[in-house]
Amino acid sequence: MPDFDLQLAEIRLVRLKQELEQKYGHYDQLRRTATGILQAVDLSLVRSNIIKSVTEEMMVVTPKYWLAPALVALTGWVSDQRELAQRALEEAMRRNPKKTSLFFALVSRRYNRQEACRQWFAHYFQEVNPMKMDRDMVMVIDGITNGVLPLSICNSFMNQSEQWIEEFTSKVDLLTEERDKWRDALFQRVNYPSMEENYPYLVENSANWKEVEYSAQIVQYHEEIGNYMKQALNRDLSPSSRVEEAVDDLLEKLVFQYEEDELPLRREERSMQIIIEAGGEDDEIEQKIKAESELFAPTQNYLELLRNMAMYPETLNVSAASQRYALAVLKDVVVETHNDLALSIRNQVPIDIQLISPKKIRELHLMDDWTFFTQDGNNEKLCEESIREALKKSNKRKIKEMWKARFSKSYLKHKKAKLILAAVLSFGVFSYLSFLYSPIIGVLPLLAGAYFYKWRKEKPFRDQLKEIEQYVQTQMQATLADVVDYRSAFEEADQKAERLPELLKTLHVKEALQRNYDKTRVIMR
Amino acid sequence: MRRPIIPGLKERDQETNLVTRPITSKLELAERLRRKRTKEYLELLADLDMHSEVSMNVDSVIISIEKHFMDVPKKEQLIGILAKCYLDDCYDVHLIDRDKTILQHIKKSDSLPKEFAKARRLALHPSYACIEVYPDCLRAIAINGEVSVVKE
Repeated sequence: MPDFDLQLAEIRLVRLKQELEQKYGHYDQLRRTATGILQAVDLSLVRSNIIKSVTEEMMVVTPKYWLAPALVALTGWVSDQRELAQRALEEAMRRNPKKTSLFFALVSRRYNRQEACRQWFAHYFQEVNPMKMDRDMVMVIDGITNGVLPLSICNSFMNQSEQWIEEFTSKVDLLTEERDKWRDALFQRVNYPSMEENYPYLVENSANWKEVEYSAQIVQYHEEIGNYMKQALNRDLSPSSRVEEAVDDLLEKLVFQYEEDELPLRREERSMQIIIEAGGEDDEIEQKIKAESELFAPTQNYLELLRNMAMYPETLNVSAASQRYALAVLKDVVVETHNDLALSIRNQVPIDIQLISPKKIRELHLMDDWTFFTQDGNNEKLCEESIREALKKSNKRKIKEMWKARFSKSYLKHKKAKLILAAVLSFGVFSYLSFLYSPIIGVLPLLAGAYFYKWRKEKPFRDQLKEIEQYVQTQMQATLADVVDYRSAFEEADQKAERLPELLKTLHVKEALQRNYDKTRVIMR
Repeated sequence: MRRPIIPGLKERDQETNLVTRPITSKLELAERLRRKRTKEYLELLADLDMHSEVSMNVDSVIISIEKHFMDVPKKEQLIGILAKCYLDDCYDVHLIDRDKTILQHIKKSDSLPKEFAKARRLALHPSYACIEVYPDCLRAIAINGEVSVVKE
């Protein structure tokens, strides 16, 4: 497991924030100004020369950034200075044609200038390459799914999107890669809790516990991913009450989108946040960082973008409607990948569970090599017999070892005095009785003595055996009960595999679209 | 606004909306084998229990199966199919071994050849109609014919 230092991550995060503030802090100020200006113009509360001086100042303090000339152009337009507006617009288009087109498309939409809006969007879409899409596409899709953009634009985007998806999914290499990525995205969306507390006996008394635990953990995927999808599809759509507010939200998203040169720092910032969120102890941190790093790539293809919109809506700041749209567009791939995952989880279930004797017993050198295989934990009787036999066998071996030790040379040497005394006494008793009665009578007490000696020495083993057997039997009964629990818990969790396909089955692209700001009713075809 | 993004897209079969071109790469093959299985194929497997007598013509079953995989290169094809057996309580699965062209009903107490053993538990799962065993993977065919894949 890679070692992630929590403290180090915290320090690094503070430093990154400082660096971002230092390098791109002035961008943020400008970003806030953008919607501020529009709202100020709406309310006519600020004099136009104040707005002008603010934007001109911004132009001076934020060189290279497209938003500054775009704002100058906007104020030029508002204050009816055509020449200034045109020159500023040219500069903004030179710096970032895509974002500038989008910015003005949205501003035109805000003031309900349909034709200008359509032209700006046409300009924007000329620049769009489905193989290399910018993050601002997220914002465009948000506008479309929330019904902010005019219907004609929505319809032509939907047609284009359908065509893109068809072409992408007919390319087997792209589709296969996408399935693999979906597989990771789905699987990593879930946290897998430790299962040791659920099956305490199985942890101790099973040789393939790791295998069992892994399958018990990964089957939790079904419930968690079902919950995630349910929550994603039930997210509150809460549209803004006025179209101006909705456009302002989109504008804010557009201007606050990170610039390309910001992305490496933003990616590192997110990685540190992931480490801190996981408390530095999660062994899946590396995978999570890797999975999210794609979100900070300068461009993604359309499929990747939709996947990230569906799976990382928080990081990409995606609205509920767009998340539903992304899931609806890709539902076939999602369901296929989910079914693959379900099969893979089922395939990793150990068929046999191997039981071993409890650790305490192994420490006593009893039942050392005992193993017992169970599938569903229902062969209790067989297990009981197997334990009894194994214990008897290993106890006999232990007694044998004890006698072997007692007759070893070193032991005899050590107990020399006792031995001589016993020999003399035995000889005395034998001679006395042989003299009085007969040698046969003389042998009898000796045999009785020897038997008594043997019985006394072996007694602790026999007594211990009873206690041990009781202990082992209860331990193994509990372990078999854990096996039964594990199998039934798996089956129960596995049945939830149907939830995701059922949830997505009812989702359709056209239904994921909202039309909140149209004055007339719209029929989607 | 429209922009062709991927050049060289082949013509599609209008009825089934499937790409009709010969299989040239591993990925295309995988895609072909992921295609939903037909109703006839599923019925063929479901009927195995009904004609369980020893006298059943196994060759005709194998030939019918072959028909479903006609466009797939021989060496990449499946090596056998495992499906739940409803014959009697003592049986759990039946196995169609394509190499040996035999159909066997396997008792619960019997063991299976190594390459099929891994699919046995999956074949008993209620979600799957059968499990197709390939040299490098298993393909589970759901009751509705949809295919899921797990690599070895």
